[in-house]
Amino acid sequence: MASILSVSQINRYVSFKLKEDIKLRSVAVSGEISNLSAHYKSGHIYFTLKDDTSALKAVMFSSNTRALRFVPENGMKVVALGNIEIYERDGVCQLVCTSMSPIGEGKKAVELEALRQKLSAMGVFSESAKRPLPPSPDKIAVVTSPTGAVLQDILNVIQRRYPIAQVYVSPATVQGEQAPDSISKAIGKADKLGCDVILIARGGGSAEDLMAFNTEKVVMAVYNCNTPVISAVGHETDTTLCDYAADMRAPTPSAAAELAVPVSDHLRALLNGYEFRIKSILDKKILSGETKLADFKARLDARSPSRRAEEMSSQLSALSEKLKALFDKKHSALYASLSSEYSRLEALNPLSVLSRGFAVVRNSDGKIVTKQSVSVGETINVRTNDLELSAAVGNIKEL
Amino acid sequence: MQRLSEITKILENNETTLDEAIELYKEGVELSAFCKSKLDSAKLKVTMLEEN
Repeated sequence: MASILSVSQINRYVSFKLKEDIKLRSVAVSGEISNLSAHYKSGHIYFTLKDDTSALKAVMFSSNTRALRFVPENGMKVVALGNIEIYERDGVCQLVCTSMSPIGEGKKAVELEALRQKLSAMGVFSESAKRPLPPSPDKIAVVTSPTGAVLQDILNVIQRRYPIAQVYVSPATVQGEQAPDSISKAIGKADKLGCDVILIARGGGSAEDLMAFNTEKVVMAVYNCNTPVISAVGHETDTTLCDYAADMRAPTPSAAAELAVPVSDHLRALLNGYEFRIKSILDKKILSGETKLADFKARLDARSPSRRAEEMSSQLSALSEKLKALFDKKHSALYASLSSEYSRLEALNPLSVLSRGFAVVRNSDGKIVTKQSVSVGETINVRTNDLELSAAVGNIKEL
Repeated sequence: MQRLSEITKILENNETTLDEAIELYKEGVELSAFCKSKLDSAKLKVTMLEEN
């Protein structure tokens, strides 16, 4: 008969046996997570890995859970790495997990893909089902959370660009369990208002947060909506089925509002246009007026008294120049003729005749000697070039 | 806006004297400023529907 052992001894032995077996060290186990329980305070997570027929308890301590790059969830298929041990206290065999990674895609992703294909086949996402957005939406409905920045951003854009619009807010819970129902109901209400466009908007978040917009309920609500829908769910890189079902997709809530009121502010543009045209015409008129004025002034200046005086003064100068020239000419001519006359006169100078040897003979009365004026024995005066002779007439012969 | 459109048309027809043009210009600019301030101060009408 074998010896009687205590429970602790049995458990200790089994534990020892397991620890001995290297095959049970660093095993990789694949299975589906269930009964997941996370102790937030300690950071340890406890779960069960199961396959079709069996289940294995597992634990992952906080030092390892911190390194997890995904969030483990019930239903996820994973590969868990660790040691098989016995927890001596309760004799439970468990996997002490050191690391874990999901196999292929998570269950959720698979389900989502299936849904997407189903809806696509129904034609929910087809281009032909999409409606054009109205150019000047006077009635705009917004489906979003009534609190938060998203609604404010949208209102700010519409206020700035198209303040004459009327906005109706159909509030909804945008994440969590109630969300799909809340959102689809809100869409329905907005549709009944008969608006020109509906904006569905939600800020950024994790895949979990945006889950509601991937549900069939919400997608069908969008698809069946009679009013054109603009969807702006999450950040630019987030896409949800709701985005694909909508008539237009926007990267952010503000962008959605900008898309909704595209005629950016035709009134302001019109006013600017008028202002520009009016100002241009005035400028042109003033310029042409100034040009005419300058022209008149120039022509006036050309006829001004001072100008006239200038003209006359220059005419005067010209004339006096001419006069001077003429005068000089005349003067020279006169002078020339005077000179020539003088020469001729010189030539006739009796005194020069005298220098040639001739003499002037006068009687005592001073008269030129002629047949009558002289007799023999009379004193006559003979004037030569340089002598004055006094002589008595000796003989008179008539020639 | 209508009067502004009228003014623009009249000025563009170029039949006005300089004095008339200046008067119209003044009126036009005043109208434009008035319309713009109306637009700026226009308040968006927001109606919040009842939540589900």
